[in-house]
Amino acid sequence: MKMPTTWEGWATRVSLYVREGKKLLGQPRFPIRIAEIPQDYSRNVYPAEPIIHVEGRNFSGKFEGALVPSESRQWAIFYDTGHASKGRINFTQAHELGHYLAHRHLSGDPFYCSRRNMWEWDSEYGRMEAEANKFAAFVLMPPDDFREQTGSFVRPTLAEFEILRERYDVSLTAVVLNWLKTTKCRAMLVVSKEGFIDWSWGSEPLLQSGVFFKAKQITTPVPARSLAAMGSADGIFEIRHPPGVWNHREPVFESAVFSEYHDMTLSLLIYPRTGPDRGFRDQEDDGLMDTYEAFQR
Amino acid sequence: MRASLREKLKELRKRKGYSLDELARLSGASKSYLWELENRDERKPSAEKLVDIARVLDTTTDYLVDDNAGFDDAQVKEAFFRKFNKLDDDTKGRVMDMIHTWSRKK
Repeated sequence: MKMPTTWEGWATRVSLYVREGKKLLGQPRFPIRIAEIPQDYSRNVYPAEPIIHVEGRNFSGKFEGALVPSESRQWAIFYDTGHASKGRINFTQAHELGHYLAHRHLSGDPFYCSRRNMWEWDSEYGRMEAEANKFAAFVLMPPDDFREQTGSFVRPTLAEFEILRERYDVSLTAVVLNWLKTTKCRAMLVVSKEGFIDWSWGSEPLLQSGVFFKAKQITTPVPARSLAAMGSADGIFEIRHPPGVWNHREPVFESAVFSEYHDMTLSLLIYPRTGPDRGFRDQEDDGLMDTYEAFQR
Repeated sequence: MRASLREKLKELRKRKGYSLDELARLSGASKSYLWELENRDERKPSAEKLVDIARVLDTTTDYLVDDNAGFDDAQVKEAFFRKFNKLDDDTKGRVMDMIHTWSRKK
């Protein structure tokens, strides 16, 4: 059997394996619980160096997971059970399986052993991390089903993503990011803590219209009149803001979820289909910056 | 158990029951500055401000600023770790214990 060489190839293969396997067992296709898969699957594809051990322990959410070889080239996946979100644990396990399938052969490579060239180490490491995440998203939320589930979304709220979160057994963040990757909507996920933006992620059409935050570089408070600032006490979880709240000249539809865990607030922002006239942009506007800068992030 | 400045600041503030606004008012530091100290690794505190913050939180600057020792690279060279290098030493040690226990069984 010819083995895939890329994360996409592996994701497609594993996705098919799970779908057909569940069909054989007469089980529903979703949710996919990764923990059940690595041992059998790896023995099938790489009988000489299988994953023989999957173990979770409580590290209070400080540790995500690891893929580790023994001297005899057998593998183990370790993960942190101390996350409040069970879906996040599922995602981590899928991420480690992705490393095993797509990057395992790179381990032990001098690239890893030496930290002398931090820049290269970092960029290669970063690339593999991103690939393992894409693998996990693909396997847990297969594109064919995801498209079907989100096809009717025009102005979705986080409540609608909550349903998908349960379907796929991932975190709410993972399911929203998966949608933002491909949507034609101008939309953004803003994760804030105690009144400041921790990080945000916008869809491609939104980024291209020049709308984004640079919260990692500049500490950015959430707008005073946003749901993110008001908190859950008011019992409002969806609102259409006039221009001047999240964006200087555009109305923005915000839905929010308040999580006790780490004081985190998730805001999903939906902007109008077409962006503001770029001719009238002013540089002082904190929500609108040069697209060129966006790609420098 | 060791903890980072971020974790210690947040923990001590919560124990006192202070919001960011209250700690800002009491310590004379700005709210966004305190938020950065609690949420951004890159933010290094000024000694002067830290003295005021430590005073309000009934602690010492020595306790807040605790250097984490380096970690033995050789031990992790064959593993892919997520966020591993950001972990405190105690958690790193426990992760390594778990891995060693497993690999000795082989």
